[in-house]
Amino acid sequence: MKIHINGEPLNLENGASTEENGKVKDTTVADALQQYLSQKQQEMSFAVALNSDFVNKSQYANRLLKDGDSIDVLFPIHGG
Amino acid sequence: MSKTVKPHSSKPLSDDQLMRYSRHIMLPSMDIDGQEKLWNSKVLIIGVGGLGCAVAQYLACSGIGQLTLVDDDLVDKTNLQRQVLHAENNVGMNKCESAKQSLQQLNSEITINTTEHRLGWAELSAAVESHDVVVDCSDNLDTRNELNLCCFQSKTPLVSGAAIRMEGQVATYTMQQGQPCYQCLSTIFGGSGDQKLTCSESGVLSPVVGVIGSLQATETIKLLAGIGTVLSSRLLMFDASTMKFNEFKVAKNPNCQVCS
Repeated sequence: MKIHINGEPLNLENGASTEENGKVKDTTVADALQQYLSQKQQEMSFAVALNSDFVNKSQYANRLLKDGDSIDVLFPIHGG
Repeated sequence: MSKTVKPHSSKPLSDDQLMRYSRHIMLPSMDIDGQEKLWNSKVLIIGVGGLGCAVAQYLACSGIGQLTLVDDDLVDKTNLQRQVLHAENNVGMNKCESAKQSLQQLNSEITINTTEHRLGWAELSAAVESHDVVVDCSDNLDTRNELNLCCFQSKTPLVSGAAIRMEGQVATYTMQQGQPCYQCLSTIFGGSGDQKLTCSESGVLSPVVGVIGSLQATETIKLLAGIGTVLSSRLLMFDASTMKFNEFKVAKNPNCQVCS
């Protein structure tokens, strides 16, 4: 599955609806973050928007992706 | 508007002022009426660093009748790269005083109040209450959250800006019913929030604070004059490295500790 993340194209390794133990496994926001962010980044605080709408952290593992989706990962900015 | 921007003492513009602000007055949505609203308005600017300097210079030139600057910091040599109101010979001076000197040269007819210490809760609440719009140009999350709470309690519109490295963000919180507040946004980021990214640690490209501050000044003028559509429920992100603006929808958090 091809999506965009922070404006860059990303080919999701586990694609859409891959089989896992005979069951169809869908690709979620969490899968994309796992592939795109480093381990260190994943431990930082950040916000995620899917097609310009913010997604609650509790929904990362449930929100399904489809081809052409656009994800933005934002890190907090407090400087003045 | 949640808090009606009403003339505190409705002073009409003089003939000289009609000339001075004519390029504003020519704008059909502004007109004399809009400029008079600016002249009779009070704006509170928290922080007179990179963002605050950019915001204050445009608001002063635009003829906002009263500006209040709050900052307890002194001008440092490393500020000169981007904090355009602080002159070389003002290094070591309080930032409010330094900025006031520059602003009065730009516009001698406006009133500039300064508060050269950190405001405690009661003082901050009173300051927010007595102004029409608050512009957040601070550099830390604690101040941002405190200011948001004050603004929500007195229903004073908050124009929030932040910048770091080559990026920045702007949002306007009208504090009207059903609209999100700054806390609704910061909650989305969750986590420990221990990434204390400050300009002194991460650096910031000089004109980026000018871009963000100019956007904040624009939003402030729109709120005061009642023109256009403000960035309410929207977060505008600016990335100078790709020269792209991105907009995100910010929804009110039904569990927000501040506004719900």
